[in-house]
Formats: sequence, structure tokens, C-alpha cells
Amino acid sequence: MLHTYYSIIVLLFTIGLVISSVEFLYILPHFHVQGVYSWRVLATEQRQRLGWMSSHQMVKWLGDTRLLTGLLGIRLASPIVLLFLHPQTGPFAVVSGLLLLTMLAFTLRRYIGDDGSDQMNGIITMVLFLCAGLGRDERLLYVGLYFLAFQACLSYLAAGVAKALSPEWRDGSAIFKIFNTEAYGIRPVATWLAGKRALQWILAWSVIVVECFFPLVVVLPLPLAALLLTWGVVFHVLCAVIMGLNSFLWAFTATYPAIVFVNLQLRSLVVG
Amino acid sequence: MEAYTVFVSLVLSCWAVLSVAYQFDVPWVRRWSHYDVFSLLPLWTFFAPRPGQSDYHLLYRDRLADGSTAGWQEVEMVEERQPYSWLWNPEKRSKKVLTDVVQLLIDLAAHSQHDRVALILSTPYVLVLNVVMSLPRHAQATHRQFVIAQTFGYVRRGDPEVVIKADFHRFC
Repeated sequence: MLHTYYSIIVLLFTIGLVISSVEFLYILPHFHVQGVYSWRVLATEQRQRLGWMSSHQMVKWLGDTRLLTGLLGIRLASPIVLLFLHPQTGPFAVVSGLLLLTMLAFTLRRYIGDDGSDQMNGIITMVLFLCAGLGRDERLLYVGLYFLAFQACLSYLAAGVAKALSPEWRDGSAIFKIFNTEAYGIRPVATWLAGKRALQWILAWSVIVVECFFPLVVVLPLPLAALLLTWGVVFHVLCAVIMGLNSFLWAFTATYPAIVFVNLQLRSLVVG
Repeated sequence: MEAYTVFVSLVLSCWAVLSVAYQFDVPWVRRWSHYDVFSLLPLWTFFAPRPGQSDYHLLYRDRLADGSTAGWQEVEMVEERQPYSWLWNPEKRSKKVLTDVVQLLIDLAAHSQHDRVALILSTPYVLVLNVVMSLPRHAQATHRQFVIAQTFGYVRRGDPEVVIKADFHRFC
């Protein structure tokens, strides 16, 4: 049964990572010498951050576009292979380890421009490797699911609290201001929302309240927990459609099986 | 309990604690974040407490050999959002990079008000300069200058403003 949770996590995670990897391959020119991810510039910063751990060879490798293409190829293929492997087996450990190394190297290469989905994908990859890959003790599968559920709940809670502390979110104007930008909005939505202060306030506070109370999802009765998770799916779909944040949908919903697992576990402890 | 199980449990527990601390701007955690080259410490405070409310644009102009300057040109870093962007949106990456760079530059400019050199030598500045200087140039151009400007949305809420104005930099 535990493996089923991991299978669903890997499936959702894989969809997101495949899309993300192909997107990066599409924008590979940005990683060339004259691009926004130019290693000629970023290497200096990363070498300083890495300190004694940096080596001339490593720095040289990360600047090689062919290696970068290879890294992205592995990042694309590895999660697909994981779909067909059983957790806590040798092959799963090898593939998840390769994926983890690739993710870490690619993160090192980028330094800038990452978003929340990249962070969550990194966390999921680490859990897959440490708990479902190298681990042979079934308890580690529990540990991994609890950790993923924790990070998911923390993400919504932190986002909600940060919004609650913001005057622009509290007065509702933040929603319109964000949707009014070309980067994170679309014109029809911005035009429709303009001037509708009451609606902006309702939308803003609905997000704040649900995000702040989201961690309760692990202890609520299943129907209410399902409602909260449905809100999460709808929320991320809307973020994808309106804001173009397509990768968040997959990275964050990939943690939902872990949340369901923890909910069932905690409630069974209470009920007995 | 297996040693590896204990080890992983401890690692994930520490990671959980650090993740919580990182959300609350705890100074010693923020100091360590400089060394978090693999971005393992997540920051989950999206679009808050300061929601993004402007779009950034990168423009440049050349100074010619006779001292005159050519007109401003915008670097087309992003494409219009497409109907399929909910599924496929590679353009969000360059938008995010520019946003991050601008934010870093604004923070740097605020902290190094009297140290223009520190700003010019910073990674975000050099990153933008590298992009701009690589673009095709006028035959008689000797120097190039970039600005980062911000606009305030589809429903205009103000006139465009210059956020960062670079010096003229000489072509090699």
C-alpha cells in the first residue's frame, strides 16, 4: 500500500519534471555565453559560494552546453524510468540517485530564476533517493511521506502568513496588482477585476484563510480533507491558467498523496 | 532501528526545522543561505509580503563615435502568453530571471548607495550587461548603456519608470 502512495507521487512529479525539462531544452540558448544564464558570469558567483569545494574542472564542466543538454536529458528520462521501478530496490536507488545528482548539478548551474516548483521538485527528489531509493527499512517510506506532507503544509502556511502580514493582501489589492502584470496576469482577467474592490478583497482573503488553515488537512475528517485538497488542485490550475505557473500544479499536487497518507495515519491514531 | 534509518530521520528532521526557520528571516539561517548553492532551503513566501505589481523591461542604446546616441531599443526577453501556457510556458524562466535580477539590483543599490563600483561589479549587473553587450550593434557604436524600466500593468496604474540606469560601457 505504501508503494501506491509513492507511485502516485512519482507519476505527478514525473509529468511536471518532463514538461520542465523540455522547457529548459527549448530555452537552451539562454545558457549560452550571451544568455541570461551565461556561465561566464554565473561561474564567478558560484565559485565564490562553493569556496574550497569548487574545482576548475567542475566549473569547466558546468559551462559545457553539451553536458548541460545531457543533464537535461537525464532529468527528463530518469523520472519516467522511476515510474516502472519498485521503491527500495537497487534500480530505484540508482536512477533516483542519478536524478538527484542531475538536479543538484543543474541547480548549481542556474543560481538564479528558480521558483517554488523547482524547490519542491528538489525536495521530492531527495526524499525519493534517501527514503525510497537507498533505504531498505520500510519505516523510511513512512518518514519520507511525513516529510513531504510537512513541507507541503509548511509551504501553504508560510505563504498564507506572509500574505496576512501584507497590507496589500489584507486590503485585497494584491490580487489585482499581480493579475494586472504581463508577467503573471492576463488582460481579460485584469480588466474584469479592475475596480471591483469587494471581489478583490474576497478573493485575497479566501486565499489567505485557506492557505493559513491548510495544515489542518492532516487531521480533518476525510471528506473535509478532500475538500481542501480539491481547493489546492483548483488553486494551482487557476495559477497555471491565469499566471502561467504551469509547473506548480504538478510539483505541489505530487505531495498530496503524502498528505492523504498522513491524514489516515494520524486519524487512525486518534480513533484507535 | 537501522543506523541508516536513524540517520535519514535526523537529516530530514533538521531540514524541517531549518525550513521553518528560513521562512521567518532568522539571521543565522539567512547567513547560511548564501552557501546553499543547491537551494535546499525552500522559501515558500510567494508573492508576499510584497506582491509583484510591475513588469520589467530591459532597454539599451548605443553611443556613437561622434558622441551622439542612438535611440532606445528593448530587449525582447519574453513572448506574449499563449492559450497553452497553462501547460507549456518556457518563457516564464526568462521573465523570472529578469525579475530576480532586478530585485537583487534594487537591494544592492539600496545597500551600496555610495559605492557605484560595488553595484557595477555585482553578478546581477554583469549578467544583464553581458546580455546587452552581446546584441548586434550600430557600425559606429563605441559604448552601450542599458536601463531597466518598469511598467504598471494592463490597466495602467502609472507611467513607466526607470528602475536601474547603467553607465555607458565601452565595447571591447
